Parts: sequence; structure tokens; C-alpha cells
Amino acid sequence: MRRSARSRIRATLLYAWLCAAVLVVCFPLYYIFVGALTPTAWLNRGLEGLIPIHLTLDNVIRATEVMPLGRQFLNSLAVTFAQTVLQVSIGIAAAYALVFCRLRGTRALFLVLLSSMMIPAETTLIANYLTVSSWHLIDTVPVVFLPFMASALTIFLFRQAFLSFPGELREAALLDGSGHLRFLFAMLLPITRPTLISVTLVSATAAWNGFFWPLLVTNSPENRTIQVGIAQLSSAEVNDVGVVLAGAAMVTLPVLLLVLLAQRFLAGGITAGALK
Amino acid sequence: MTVSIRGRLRARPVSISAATTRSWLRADRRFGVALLVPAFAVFAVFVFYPLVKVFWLSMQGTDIFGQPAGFVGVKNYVTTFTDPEFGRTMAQTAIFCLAVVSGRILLGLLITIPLTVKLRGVPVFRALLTSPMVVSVSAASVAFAAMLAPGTGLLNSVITRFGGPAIPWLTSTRWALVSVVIVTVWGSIGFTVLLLLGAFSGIDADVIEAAHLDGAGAVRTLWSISLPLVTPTLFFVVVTGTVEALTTFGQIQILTGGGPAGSTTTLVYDIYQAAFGAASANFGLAAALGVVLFLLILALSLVQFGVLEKRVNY
Repeated sequence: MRRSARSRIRATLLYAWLCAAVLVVCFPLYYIFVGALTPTAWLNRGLEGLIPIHLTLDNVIRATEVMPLGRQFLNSLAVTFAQTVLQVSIGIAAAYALVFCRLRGTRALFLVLLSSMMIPAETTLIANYLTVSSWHLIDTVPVVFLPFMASALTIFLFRQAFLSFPGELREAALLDGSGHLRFLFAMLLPITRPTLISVTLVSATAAWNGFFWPLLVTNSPENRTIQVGIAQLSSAEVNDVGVVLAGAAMVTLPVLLLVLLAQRFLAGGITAGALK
Repeated sequence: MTVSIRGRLRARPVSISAATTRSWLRADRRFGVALLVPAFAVFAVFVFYPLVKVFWLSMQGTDIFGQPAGFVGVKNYVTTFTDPEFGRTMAQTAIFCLAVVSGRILLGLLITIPLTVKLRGVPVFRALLTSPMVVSVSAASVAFAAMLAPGTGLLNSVITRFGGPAIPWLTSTRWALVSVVIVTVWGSIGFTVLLLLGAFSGIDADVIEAAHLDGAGAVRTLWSISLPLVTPTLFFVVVTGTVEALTTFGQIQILTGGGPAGSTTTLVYDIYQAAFGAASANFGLAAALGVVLFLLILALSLVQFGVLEKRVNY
């Protein structure tokens, strides 16, 4: 009797704490999405302006008039698609070679790979900027994903997944006379699909969220990615909070939808590379 | 060639000449090398070559067009290390990293630990509390810039309604760095909770059970059993969190532009300003700063590999 009363108090306290945490942690998200749909005149009234009763799409329309956000959205989609497809396919190829091709010196190659992860992009950025500008690629869309066509982390995660592939299955495939490509597409990739999906998601989110490099290598509004676009929208429309939040909502919505669709895969995947 | 199960069970002796095996192996290796070429070509051009070039650039002067202009030895390093502003930048970088990492760990634990209790509705809380993950640095920064705006910002309107003083979040040297820390911690809390949840759920239930049987209460179990068992993850968050904080750029660029009066300029923002700032275009100096950043991150990575290999479990 006393025990159950105590555990009920404990549960109530925990719920109260969790609710408070949700309130603080989720408020900025609420602010972005409700603010995007609320006229700035209401938003300027403070908290009660955020009660979602004045919803309109005016902010979104006005935001796309100030900045070519539609075009920039498409740029970001194109960059994300290209970068993700390249990172994943180049990553699968390299990891496959490291695990299944009986190469000499794989250990050394793997160490080179690991060491490349210790080199910060913020250091190499200056030299990369000079490289791509000597190729006359500044202010184009492809230059945004060019340096990120391959990712050491992606290779690393695929390698982990391939290493845990059961050796017996591999031998069975060989006995059946299937070559590398058949083994890869008919057996390895279907079986390691959870890794494939989560690595793809992580890759795509990182590509979508890029900011520093895209800011440096593009200039004209129609070649910007949407991440840079909303930052410029924010400084151009400082006094129109609703419009600024409309930009933020446009950037966040695709990722939110993607994560909602794939929640179950994501949890295991992002943390997969964290600890060996 | 198909081999029936029966055929395989009979274990027919298959005779393959040594020469055939060798040619298979050769074909295998050629194929493997071909698969590795794209990845290592990209790394050669966009990771290793630029690293070497940054070292070279850091010993070059810079002409008025921002182009390398002759060998100057360690001049850029001397300029950097004798500049009192550099000391200030490094101090701010250190304070920023320390605040962000401790904020992440502290809030991460405070949020994650209640989530490990078996209660109804925990999955919903878990989904909600990891949701900041979907917001990019850029979107988070513009939203917080609106919320923290000096005049009409939401936060100040709430504070003043309750009789508090309006705080110059982004415009005073006292608060600007605090604001950038808040935005950065918020942006990384979702991922931190996700990592910690993974670590706590990896703890063997029998160990906890045994502790309870030995009469340990919830707090004691947490302090003496659970926390020590998640130290590898905590350590991972500390190291990768420090690297992440060290390389923070978007929040600073959008929220404060390194100001006011340089109070939010960190090492990476300094690199950006030296190379691409309106008044500068000094690639030599920026490269020297880039080398400093590289050495810091290299040291952190070595610590990570050194300690993580042994696993932290005290």
C-alpha cells in the first residue's frame, strides 16, 4: 500500500519533469512551425500570438518573394540527391573492396581512411576554395557537393556492417558460383539493408544541412542552397519574424517528414559508428 | 553452375590447379582496387592535398588579390601568436567548448535518465525529446535570432511581462556568447539524448537486478552502476562534442557575426574572417589558423583513440 503510493508519487514527479523538458526542448520547433503560419503582427504580441488561431500562408508567399526560396529549395534537393547517391555508392564500393576483395594492405588503407576523419573540413576549406576557384567552379551548383562525393564515415559504417556479414553465407554464394556483383546486389545489400537505409538518411540529412561550404562557394541568389537562403532572408527581413520563420519551416519540414518516415531505422543507425 | 545440396553434401573433391586460384585472386584484387579508386581519389584531391597545401599556404605571404606571394617562413605564425586578439579568440573558443560540452552532458543526462524508467508514454517523450535533431544549424539560428531579438523578441517580451529586465541577448558582449552556447546546446541535445539512450539500454538488466537485490536504491544504482557503465559513451560525447564545438560556424555567422566587439569570435570564425572577411582575404594567415585548428583536433582524436580503445569504465 505505502509502496504503491510512493511509486505513484515518483511517477508523477517523473512525468512533471519530462513534460517540463518537452516544453523547453520542443518550444523552438513549435515556434518555427506555428510562427511560419502566423502574421507577424500577432507574433509581435508575445506568447499569446503563438496560439494557432490566425493561421495563414502569407508569410510563406512573402518569403518566396523576398528570396528565390523555391529555386534554392530545388538546388538543395539536387545537391542532397547527388551527394547522397555518390557518398553511398562510392562508400559501398570502397567498403566492399576493403572487406571482400582479399587486397594486400587493407589495414594500411583503413588507417588512411581513419586518419582522414581527423582532418577538419574547416582547415582544408581554404585550400579547397582555391582549388575549385582555379577550376572556375565558384558560384555553380555542383561545386557545393564536389568535395563531399566520398565520406570516410560512410565507408567506415558500411565496412562495419559488411564485417559482421556471416562468412558461411558468403561461402555459400561463392559455391553457387555467384560473382562479386551478384553477391553484392542479391545477398549483401539486401541483408545489410538497415545499415544501408540509416547511412543513406544520415548522409542525406548532412548534405541538406550543409552551410559553411555552400556559403563560401556560391554568390548569386539563384545558385545558393536554401540553408544559406534562409540565413540571408533572416538578415534581410529582421523585422518580419513571420517571414523569417517561414523560411526556417521550409528548411525543416523535409527532414522532419523523412525522420518520421524512417524513425525506427534511424535510432540504431546514427549511433552505429559511435562505439565499436 | 548450380550445386545441389545433395551434391555438396557428398563433398566431391574438386581439383582446381594452383594457377587458376592465382588468377582468380589477381582478378579479385584488380576488381578491389578499381572499387577503391573513386573514394581515395576524392580524399586525395579534397582532404589530403588541401591539408598539405594549407601547411604550405601558412608559410606564404598574401598579395592584395588574396593570392600566395612568396615564402615568408613562420611569419604568419608569429603574427598569429603575438596578436593579443588571438589569445582572446582562443580563450573564447575554450570557454565556448567547455560550456557547450558540459551543457550537453548535463542536460543530456537529466533528460535521458527519466526516459530509462519503465513508464507509460515514454516512447512519445523519447520521440519528442530527440526532435531537435531535425532542425539544421541554419534554421535553428534564424529562429533563435528572432526569439532573442533585442526589441520585439519573444523571450524579452515574456521576461519583461513578468517584471524582469530586457536582456540584450545578441547585442552585448556579456550575453552574446551565452546566446550562441544556448543555441548550440539546443541544436545538439536531440542527438546527445539518442546516444545516451542507446548506452543506457545497453546495460545488462541482470546487473541492475542484482544491485536491487543487494538493497541498492534507485539513486545508488544509478550512481554506482549505470553511470560508470555508460562512461564510454559519455567520453565519446565529450570528445566528439568538443570537436563539434571547436568547428562551430553557422550559429556564430547567423546570430552575431563574431561580434559584438569580437566577443563571439572563435578559432573557426577567425579563419573565416581572415580568409573571406570583407577587409581581409589573407589566405596565409587563415591557413596558419587552420593549422592550429588541425593540431587541436588531431590531439583530441588521438586522445579518443587512445582512451576509447581501452574503454572507460571506472
